[in-house]
Amino acid sequence: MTTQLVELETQLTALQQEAEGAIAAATSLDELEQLRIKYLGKKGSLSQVLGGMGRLEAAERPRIGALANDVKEVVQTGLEQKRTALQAAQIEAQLTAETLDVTMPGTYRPQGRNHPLTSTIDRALDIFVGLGYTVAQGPEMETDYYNFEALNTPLDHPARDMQDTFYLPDGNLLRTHTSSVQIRYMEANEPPIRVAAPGRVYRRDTVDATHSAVFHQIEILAVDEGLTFTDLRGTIKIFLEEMFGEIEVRFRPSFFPFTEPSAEVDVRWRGRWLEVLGCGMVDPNVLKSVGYDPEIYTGFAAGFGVERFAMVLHQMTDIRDLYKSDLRFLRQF
Amino acid sequence: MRISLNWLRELVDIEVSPEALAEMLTMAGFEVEDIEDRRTWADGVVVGRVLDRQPHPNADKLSVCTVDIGAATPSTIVCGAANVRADVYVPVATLGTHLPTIDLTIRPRKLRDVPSEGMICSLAEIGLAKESDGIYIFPQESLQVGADVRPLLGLDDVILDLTSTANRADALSMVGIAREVAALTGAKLKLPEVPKLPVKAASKELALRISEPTACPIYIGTAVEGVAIAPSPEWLQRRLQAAGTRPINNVVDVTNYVLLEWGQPLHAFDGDRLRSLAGSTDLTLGVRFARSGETLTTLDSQSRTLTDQTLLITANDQPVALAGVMGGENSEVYANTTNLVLEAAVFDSVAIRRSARSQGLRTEASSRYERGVNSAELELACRRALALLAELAGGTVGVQTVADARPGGAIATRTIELRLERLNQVLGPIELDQEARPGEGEVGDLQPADVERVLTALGCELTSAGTTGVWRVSVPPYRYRDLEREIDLIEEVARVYGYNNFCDTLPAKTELGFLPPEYALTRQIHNALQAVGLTEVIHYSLVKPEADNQIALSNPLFVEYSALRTEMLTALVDAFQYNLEQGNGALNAYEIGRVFWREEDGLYEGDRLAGILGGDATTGRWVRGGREQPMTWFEAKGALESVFRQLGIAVEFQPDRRNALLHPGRTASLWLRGERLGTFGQLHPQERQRRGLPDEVYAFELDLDLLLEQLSAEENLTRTFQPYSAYPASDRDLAFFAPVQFSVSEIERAVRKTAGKLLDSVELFDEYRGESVPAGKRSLALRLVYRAGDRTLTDEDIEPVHQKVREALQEKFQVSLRS
Repeated sequence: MTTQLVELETQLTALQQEAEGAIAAATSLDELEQLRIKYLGKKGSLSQVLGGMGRLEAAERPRIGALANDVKEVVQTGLEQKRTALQAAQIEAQLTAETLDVTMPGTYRPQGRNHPLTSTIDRALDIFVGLGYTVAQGPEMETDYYNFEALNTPLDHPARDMQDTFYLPDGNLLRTHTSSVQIRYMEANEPPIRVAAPGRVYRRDTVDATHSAVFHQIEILAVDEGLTFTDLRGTIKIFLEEMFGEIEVRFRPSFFPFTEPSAEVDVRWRGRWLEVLGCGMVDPNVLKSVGYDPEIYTGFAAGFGVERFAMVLHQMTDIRDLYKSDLRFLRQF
Repeated sequence: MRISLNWLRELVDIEVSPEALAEMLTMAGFEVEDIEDRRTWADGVVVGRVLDRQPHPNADKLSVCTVDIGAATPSTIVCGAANVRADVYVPVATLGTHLPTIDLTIRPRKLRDVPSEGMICSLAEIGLAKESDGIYIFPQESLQVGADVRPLLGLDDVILDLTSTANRADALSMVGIAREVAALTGAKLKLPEVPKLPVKAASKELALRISEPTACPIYIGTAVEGVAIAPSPEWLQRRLQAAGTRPINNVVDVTNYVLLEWGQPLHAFDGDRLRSLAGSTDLTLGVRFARSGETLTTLDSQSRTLTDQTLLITANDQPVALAGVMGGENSEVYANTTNLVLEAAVFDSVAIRRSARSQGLRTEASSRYERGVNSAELELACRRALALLAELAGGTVGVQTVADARPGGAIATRTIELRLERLNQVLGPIELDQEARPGEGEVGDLQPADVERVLTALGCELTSAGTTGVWRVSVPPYRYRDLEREIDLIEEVARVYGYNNFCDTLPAKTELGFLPPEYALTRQIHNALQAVGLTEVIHYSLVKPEADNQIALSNPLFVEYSALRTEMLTALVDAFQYNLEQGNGALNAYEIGRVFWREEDGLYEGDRLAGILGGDATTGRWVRGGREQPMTWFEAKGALESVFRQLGIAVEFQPDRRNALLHPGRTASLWLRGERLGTFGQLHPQERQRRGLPDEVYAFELDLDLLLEQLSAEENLTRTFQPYSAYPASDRDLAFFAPVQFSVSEIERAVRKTAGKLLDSVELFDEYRGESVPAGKRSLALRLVYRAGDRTLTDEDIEPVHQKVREALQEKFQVSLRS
């Protein structure tokens, strides 16, 4: 064995030891890269050592070559492992540094909400659409004809007491019910008719916790051959059950000029009978006024106050809250 | 109407409890709103006799009484009333008695060291008066001590407070309700027997001149002589009180009693006062409308100016009463009245309604006439009153004069054809087995026997009309007014048979149910607005009168609600301010509703969409170190643009200064396909200052009808797919100084027009004014994105186009290009 050989072997071993020590001591990826260049780069320590191979005898070269490869592999593996370890530590440090208090509030611009009257109307209309109805609307400034006369309520009829009316300077009036839409719809359409008319109505009434001079109504009308009082009962019951859930319903005889027989409908709500709706079979005079033959066609109509439904459903106590636009109220729906 | 069950029991047998009766009447259309069980008011109160009264040793105002209440030893009771004295009968609440009126349970206790074993009651303490000066002292000479006081005081009664429907004028009386109960229960009716007293034939002493036979189809005037005015007997007073009527004297009470019993208003005049007003011993009573300028002081001491709608009773043409509404003070029965003229008449409902309205009056009499008093029982009611006047006031019936202009005479009858088939066509099937659960029993039509039973019970007479299943139905005279048509009979059958004994069915055929486009689109608008943070509000459409083109109501109730709104912004600004004042923060809200206005050719209404936004409505302010970050003008505009984009419409903004509520330099008119859609802008600084609002408040109002019209265009309802390019885009930026009078939208429009089809988009990405920008100009930077659908664009494609854009900007807007 030549002196050179021994020398080279010693140098390689020393290089390996030194590199291993330096890699272990490295603390950053930059430092590690410097070490790679220092030991394994083109002008690095390993290259320099191998530069001395020329002086070796040919038979000795493979031995040194193999040893150099081993050293290179060891250093490379060391570098690789250290890189992975340093990268993991770096991510770990980032994660620690970036950790948030996830309980702190998010920031957003709140979405708007439907008014409870609108959602009540929508809920009711969707039920009636499911039962085969469509929606009709009409003017709030109405003639006496559509609001009263065509609805079998001539001037000086006692029923006009039931709904004190606001009059307009042109002699027309603010509609007292959405029943006026019935007449307009029947005039423009032929039976079969299935229509729901939501809208604002007006009564000359005091304003307090349960009364409003302006309120909303939904009125339904069905006219066809063969419609009966029992069809009215079934329709109303289904509607009320969809609205209020499984609930006891009773029909009480009442009087409206535009229906006969007429009924008021009560539901048993929290242990008490609560009046929620008026309805009846369309009076033959009403059918005649729009040119339908009451011997061929029968029909039924029902009407209810949206405010009342909303107040019952949401357990409100003061109707004025609906119009006050207080965010503490509006945000609840 | 208040119905005394004791009274009702005299007219019809009642076997059921008050609660069951109330339920039965309610379910027959006579809604019982309240059951006043007077028996509970003095349960445990007995008759006591004060044996001795001594002053209380330790209190000036108290007495120590020894009271015999029928027990082994008399009770010692301390009493605070000044009128307590020895040797009188008094009501005594015994130990353990609960008095619900004052919510007091009587227990033994000491009053200033003297023990007291009960309470001597006032009428107020047992619910018979609102307030009392002292204890009640029985007027009777002798009573059984220890006896229940309730029968003595009319507290053995139950009162039903019920409402008759507007069509049932016949049921506004005890007799009417008794008939109804009889029909519902099958019990026997026991109407009072009314003797026929002899009357003297008409003479000139008492004549009639009915100038308005339409308004007064029948009038019966009867003289009653030699009455002695006195309080009514106890039983009569009690019945009036139970019905809620104050007893006055025997004569007035008799007229009120007959009103309650038969539903027939009557009026008693002082005959001598009438003659003195007439200035003659020969009296001619008349019925006519008032002449302008006439006045009359009515029983309520109101001096009334009469109009030509006011219907009058006259004595020799002098006004003496408002016919069917209220008597006159100058002919009122008083303590020294000895001769009466009793009026029993039927007045037309329309005439009385107008007459009562002309005086702003509504009385027991007028409300009955307005619904329509049945003339069939007028004579009966008149005879009943005359008999009672004779019995209770010692009167002698004198001359009677009748003016009867009723077509068809006294008894109105009507026969109506009723078809069983039609009845079942309208009503539908019943549960044949009423015991079965709904849907489980057998179902079928109402049977002829059901119909006959119900209508007969209601007093109708049915005869066969020859054909099977067809009847001729004669209605009783007292139902003449409301049973006019076949459908009225069908209703009666359903009502008495019981609405809840019918089946529940759904129509045999169904129709297509759908929301019409404008309704479905309105929901989309709600959704789009809510998505940008606006909450729906609903405001009254009645407001204070303010604007010029406003529609004022002809008959408002309050000034605050006396006109129709012409716009919706004011109410939204009010609501914004209210919420700030309540500490609720900025209200970002919208309303969809109707406005009304006046034009030269008439009154109009239309639907609007209005909104208010601003302030800092965001949550999570901590990220900005607690600073508020109020919405900027462009953020507010952006919210609207986001809504329009969502709805798929292109809206153009133009400067506008028309709305006085808005900042003239920060307001835009909105245009949709060349039509004015509405206005958007920041609140005017003056308005903000006046209301104490922050600067950053913005509002808009849009024409909903126009919006819906555009939205419901077919291409919007069903959108067509637009292909997009698979090839890369190429950007070019343009920076330049432009004179400030040119708007960005004008410049962008010119860019688009010039660049043509290759231009994909143009976006403003910078605006700068100030240092280093020449006066009268601003620096703008636009990014133009070029792209084609069929190839990757090269510089050779883009450069000529972009050069044309640069030239166009220089030419049209005198811009100086900086790049």
